Amino acid sequence: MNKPGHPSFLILAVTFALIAWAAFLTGSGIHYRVLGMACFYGALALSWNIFALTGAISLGHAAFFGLGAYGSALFCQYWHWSPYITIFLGGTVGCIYGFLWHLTFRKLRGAAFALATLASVEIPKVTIDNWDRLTSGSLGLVGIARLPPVNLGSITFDVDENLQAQCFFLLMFALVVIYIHFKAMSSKWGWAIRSVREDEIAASTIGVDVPGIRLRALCVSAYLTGLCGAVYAHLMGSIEPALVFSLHFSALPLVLSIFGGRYQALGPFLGALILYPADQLLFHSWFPAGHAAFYGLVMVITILFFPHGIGEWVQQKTKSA
Amino acid sequence: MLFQLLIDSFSLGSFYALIALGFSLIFGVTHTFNLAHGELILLSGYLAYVLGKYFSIPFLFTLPICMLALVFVAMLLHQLLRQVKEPFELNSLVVTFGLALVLQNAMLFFFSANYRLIHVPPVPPLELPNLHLFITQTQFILVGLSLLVTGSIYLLWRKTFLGKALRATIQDREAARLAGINVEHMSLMAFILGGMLIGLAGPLYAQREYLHPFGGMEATLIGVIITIFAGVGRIRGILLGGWILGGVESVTVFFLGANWRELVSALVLIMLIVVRPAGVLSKRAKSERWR
Amino acid sequence: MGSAKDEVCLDLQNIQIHFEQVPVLRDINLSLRENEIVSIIGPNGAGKSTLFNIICGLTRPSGGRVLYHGEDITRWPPHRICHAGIGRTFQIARPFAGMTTLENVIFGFCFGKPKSGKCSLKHKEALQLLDLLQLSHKADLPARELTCSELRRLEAARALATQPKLLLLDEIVAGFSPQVIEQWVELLKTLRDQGLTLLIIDHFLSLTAKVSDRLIALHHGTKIAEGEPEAVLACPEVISAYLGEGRKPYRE
Repeated sequence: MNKPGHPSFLILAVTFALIAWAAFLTGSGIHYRVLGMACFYGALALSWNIFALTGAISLGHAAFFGLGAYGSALFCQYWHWSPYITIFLGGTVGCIYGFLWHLTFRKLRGAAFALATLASVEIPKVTIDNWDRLTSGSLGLVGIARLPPVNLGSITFDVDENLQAQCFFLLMFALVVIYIHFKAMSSKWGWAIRSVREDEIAASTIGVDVPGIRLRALCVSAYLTGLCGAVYAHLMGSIEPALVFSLHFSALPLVLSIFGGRYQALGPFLGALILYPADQLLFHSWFPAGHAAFYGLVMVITILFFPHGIGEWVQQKTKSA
Repeated sequence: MLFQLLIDSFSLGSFYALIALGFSLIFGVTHTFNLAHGELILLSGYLAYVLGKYFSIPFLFTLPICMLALVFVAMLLHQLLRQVKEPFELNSLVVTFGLALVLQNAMLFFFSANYRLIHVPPVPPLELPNLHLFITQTQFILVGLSLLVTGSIYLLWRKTFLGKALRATIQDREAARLAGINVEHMSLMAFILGGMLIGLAGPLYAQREYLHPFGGMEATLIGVIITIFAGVGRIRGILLGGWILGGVESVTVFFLGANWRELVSALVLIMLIVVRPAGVLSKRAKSERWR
Repeated sequence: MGSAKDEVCLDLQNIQIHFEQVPVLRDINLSLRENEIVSIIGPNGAGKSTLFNIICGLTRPSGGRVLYHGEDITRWPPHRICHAGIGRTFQIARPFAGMTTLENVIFGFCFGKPKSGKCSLKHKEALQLLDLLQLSHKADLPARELTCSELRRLEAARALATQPKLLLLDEIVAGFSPQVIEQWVELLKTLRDQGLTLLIIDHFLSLTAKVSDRLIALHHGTKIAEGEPEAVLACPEVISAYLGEGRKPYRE
């Protein structure tokens, strides 16, 4: 039987194959772009899932995403620091808001918590939308500094212009987040998180600091989500409140994680690798407007028929085979 | 000026109560957190728009058509939700969330992001010259219908056996079942009534606000706020909550401008959830709980 | 020898609690000495489990103090109370259903005391504890597949894994046969010999009468009797609370 958090060999193989196939296919830029963004959304999903491992479903992670995006972009704009520094500041802004969540919502669970998080996105969104002097309000920020090229010895990775380099950058980024997510499942911290998810009252009476564990998971999750938002801002070059605080960035990690498997080490990432390219390459061309309905459908179907995600379903099938 | 604000609050609030009533009924009886509530209202609104624009059906006649259509949709939703497994509240939340996404994007696909409005032939507003107050025809219809429907539901709630059965199911599902009430029928009934209310709210919404595919979440949050405030199944509380929320929002818009409206609603909701997750009024009038 | 035995382990002073204006516990005073076995008896609704929740920090009392070895732990969070040495079981067992029996116990070792090191190193101690509670044969089964009796033993094992000095047992033998109860009596005596102090809630007078040094009877949130088991069980108020007016004292 697999230890919790350790992906089955099949899943590892599939994931690896998908990456290798697209990465080494010397094909069109669009493949690199799609794979790169799939890794990006995979990282976003994993970041969300770190907090979901404590059993809490958040519908408001777009708040961290948007704060990270704006944080990094504004630091860059006003202080002229390199994006490679400001993205970490963006993450910190997200983390601070996560701490505020903990202070206000610490007694909430289940549906009440989900609703409160959903509502909490409005606060930074409307504030930024109206604070014209600082943030240009609803017009958004344009001309955000792009990610500068990275020099490793004699090789230059032009992460902004060269889509292959960008793809690798995002892949590396995803790998870091995969590692952190893995730790959140398999280390002693990971065990504590699991006990909180299974039964927080029992956990507290055998010595697990339940509020502390939730806080840590939330802050890590918020930081990483903010980091994703910051990277997004520098990749896109322009952001506006309606975009970076949109429901899309709250819903997407939810769908990807639930589809891929919330309690699997690679589940959310796998979800992204499967669903994102499907959306971009298939549905986007068929329905330029409204293709995101695909994610909604996946969400509905997954909850009804695969409540534990594809990842777990595959594991079960391969076990019985 | 203050009185104008009052009139605006009253009309807005009555409409909010209508929105919340549908949500509250469905949530109370079936424990479904329907996050697609707002999108369904928009759907009904778009339907009324299409009926008016392409079939030239007069506005007032679109109302019963929309109500019927949404009852049908609600019954489909009910069937879908019956497949959802435990934990039901959280899973139904996620399923309806997914549904909201589907509906949003479907409406985006069919109607594009352009703002649409239902045009009712303009009629000069009723003026009360001594007080310098204006009541527009839209407001009049809104308030009139909202109160009429809320009143009817209230009568159903208190005076009929169906109302009693619904109340019993809300209070204690198991006990109601043991008392001989068919709770599955009650769930269906709740969706039917909810569908009617949603169907009515759509066209009313579309004639006073611009329809656009992403406006649904706002309406859902309004329903949630008022339901939490009033407690489940408390119709007079829902009316009161609607008026209060309408008042708070009108005052906000008046002093701060329309941009801050959503923030105020969000803050109200957060305050309510944190302070009183079980419903604000339910503590105060304990003895009158299930009237 | 006398001084160690007389030291007060747990001291409850004027504990009271209301739930929505209904008083559940009124002015409870209780004192436990080191290495004692004290049982709390009383009809359903007397507030016994609530008392446990207050002691281990899950519920805050409306008034009164809980002193553990002289320290006021009333407002401590549950995990801190566990680290200090108080363990408890629940009336309705709360295992970590998705994990194996062994993992459940390892949890106790891993988190029961701060800085206890890596979880993977606790295998041996966990297996020993499972042995003591006769659960070794089910070590690798998921906890949700255990029988009711085994779940109770798992509750106890997990609580014992946190290395408590005071163990609160909430209706650990409810519904069991006399042989099983005998095994529990032996186990509890072994635990006492190992230095533990035990506070037991139980309906089953056959357990509490045999193993306790003292009995405390609660009814409607107040203490109605306290003392040696035979004395308390012969007390008229206790008899009327449990069995109705005018009955005879409990006999084995």
